[in-house]
Amino acid sequence: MLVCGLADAYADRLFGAQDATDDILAFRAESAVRSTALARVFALVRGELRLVTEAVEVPLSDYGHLKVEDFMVSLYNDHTVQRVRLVLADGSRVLAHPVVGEAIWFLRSA
Amino acid sequence: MGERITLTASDGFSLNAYRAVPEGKVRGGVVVIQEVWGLNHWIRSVVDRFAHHGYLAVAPAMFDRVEYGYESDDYTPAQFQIIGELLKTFSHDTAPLDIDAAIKAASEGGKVGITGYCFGGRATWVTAARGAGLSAASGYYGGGVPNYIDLEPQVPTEMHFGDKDTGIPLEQVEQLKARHPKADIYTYDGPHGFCNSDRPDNFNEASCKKASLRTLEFFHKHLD
Repeated sequence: MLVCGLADAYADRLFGAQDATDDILAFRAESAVRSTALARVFALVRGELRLVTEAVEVPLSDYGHLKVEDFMVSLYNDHTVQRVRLVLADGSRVLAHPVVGEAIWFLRSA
Repeated sequence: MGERITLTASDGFSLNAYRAVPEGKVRGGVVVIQEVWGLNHWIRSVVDRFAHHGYLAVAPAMFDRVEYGYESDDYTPAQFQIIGELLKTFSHDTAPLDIDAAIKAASEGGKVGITGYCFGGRATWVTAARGAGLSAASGYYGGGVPNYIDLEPQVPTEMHFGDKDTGIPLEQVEQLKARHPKADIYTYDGPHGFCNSDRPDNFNEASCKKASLRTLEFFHKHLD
């Protein structure tokens, strides 16, 4: 959440550094249109979405790509690992780290 | 120093094992339970080390019912899927039979203690809760032990964990400690697997020496 809050705040700094518009809400809305990931971060910070930590099953075919600690945790927890996921408005879940990473990448490229 | 043998479990299953006998006076028996890499070089060296310290030591091949003869010195992710598949079909119902066969073999040396690492650390904790005719249990970074926090050791038990074990967070170790004040639960500077000298990225020699000395003292107190 802290990282998401910082990303959200960074969007405001980007607004301050540009002169295309003086409407911060329009600037943020346009950024959200351009980046789904950033839109999700904004929604999370507003409290419209939530983060959960859940056990996620790891397919055996993915085992070779696991970090050692995930490998170990999965072996002793019915082949599941703990993952932070973002619960979307429709109830579906996506891994949170890639969303945050993509949002940050968008902000840094803006 | 040791030799490869076979054990026969009470249901008739014949499994591989590695056994080492002290050259001099035998002080007791020790069962060594493997990590997930089978009776590989490092586990065999642990068996030899206990024999060097006077214990008749036996390590059963815990995966033989799933893949007979599996063992690997390859600690890279190349083995992860293989091990994942092994553990998917591994039976917790028959595992005690294999451990009991090893305890019986080790009992030729007198009172028996059990030790184990990671997978073996968990087996140590679980077997201590069964009693199984043991006199002591000393387990290392038991993977999944926090999931068995409600099991009550029936024999004197100590457990050793690394304070940088990302698979067993310290708060879980603290919960274990609080739940079982009679067990000696120690933490050391190091990651998971800090006692495996064949894994230089994980091995912490100072911590391993300290933990291993504690195990020897513990077995000396309860087995000799």
